[in-house]
Amino acid sequence: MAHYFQLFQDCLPSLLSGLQITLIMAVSSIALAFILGVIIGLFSISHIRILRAFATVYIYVIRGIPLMILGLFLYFGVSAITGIRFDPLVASIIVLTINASAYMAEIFRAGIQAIDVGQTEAARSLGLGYLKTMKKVILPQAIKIMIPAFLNQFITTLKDTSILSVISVRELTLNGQIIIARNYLPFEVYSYVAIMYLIIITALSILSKKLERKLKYDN
Amino acid sequence: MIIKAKEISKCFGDLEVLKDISLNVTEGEVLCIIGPSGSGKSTLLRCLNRLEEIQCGSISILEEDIVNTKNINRLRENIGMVFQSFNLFPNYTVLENMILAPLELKKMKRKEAEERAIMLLRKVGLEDKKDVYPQTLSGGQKQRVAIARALEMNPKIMLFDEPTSALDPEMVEEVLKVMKDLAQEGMTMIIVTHEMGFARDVADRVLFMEGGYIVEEGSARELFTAPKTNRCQEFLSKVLRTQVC
Repeated sequence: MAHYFQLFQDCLPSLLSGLQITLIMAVSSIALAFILGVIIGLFSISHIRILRAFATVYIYVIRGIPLMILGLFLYFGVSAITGIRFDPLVASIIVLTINASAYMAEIFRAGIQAIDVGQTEAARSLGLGYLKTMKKVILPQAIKIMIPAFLNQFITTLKDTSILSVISVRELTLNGQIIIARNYLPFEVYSYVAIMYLIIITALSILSKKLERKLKYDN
Repeated sequence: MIIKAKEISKCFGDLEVLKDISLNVTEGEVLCIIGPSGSGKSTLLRCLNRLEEIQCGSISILEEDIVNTKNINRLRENIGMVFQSFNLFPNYTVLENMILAPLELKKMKRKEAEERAIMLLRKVGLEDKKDVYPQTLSGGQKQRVAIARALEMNPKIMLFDEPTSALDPEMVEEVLKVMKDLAQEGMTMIIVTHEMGFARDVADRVLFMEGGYIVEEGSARELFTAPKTNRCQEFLSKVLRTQVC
């Protein structure tokens, strides 16, 4: 047991630097994917047919391709054709953003469409325009519905960062693998890695529960 | 003429739900529209504030063409609408529900809007409910708030789309009373309803619709005591048998 904790201390600096990269990847791609997802989600409920078609195709294609393939394709495939050498971190943020945005667009669309159309009609009949109706009536109700699903997606994206160890981003998983290649103690090192993911995700879950409670409006 | 609809028709896909409907309403008139389900009553009402687009014909309200207007929102401020399913905003209190639109559209200052809202709530007997959320209200109370919310905008016309159809029987009366008071104050009202007793009492004029056509129209007395068409007679005898008037 003493050996287990000793080894943990030895690995900690390297694992922490990996965790830092993991968090940079997760936070930036979640933020970008949220913005992109809301835009694509707005397209998918738009009255303009071409925007709707674009959103449908985008969501269909992105959801149909595994994240790992998307990463390999961008990092190796695209650079082989164009000659552009991506920084692994930049490439992984792009790939995670594209991947998560498709799911977030669906969450956004479903949340908006879950609100009874009578709400829109009532607001419009009072003379409120489309944007004011969205901002004051529909979104406040829809966001409440969306929060658990969005949080689920945040957690998924955070965990998905580990997949991009295949394009040599020095994040938590890859740093663990590098340590294992040196000391050949996979049981110990992978357990450290797993616990570190677990701690971060637990913190995120607690945060979301708090947020959900805060947004409750019934009495 | 406060409302002028001329030869309008409306289709949902291949299905024509309004066929060549013409309708004039004068200021202060109370018009009830009756008829079987699927006859186009609600659709006609929803065309009047352009919640539904029409395919042919013209509609003008307060001398403005609502089909081609660039500013439908401003016109809708003058046309209150009350829905069968109330459609109060669950994320706002009763008072907030009422002042949302006037404040957003900068029609009133907050203080003025709140005072008017409280005055209207008093009128519908719900002043003490101003700070509760809609889900704590009964159906009848919700509908009275919905009427007050529409009145807050100080509309010239009120449209009612089966306002009592979703209510428990014992709550129908309280809503009808509010509407009756409103009619007596001279509000121009168009009411789609299945409450024949109410229609007979308050309507200046009644339209009977079926299959997308206006089959018969006349004063409440004419239409209820001596309907001219067979269809209207049949309809009335069926519904009056089940309703105590």
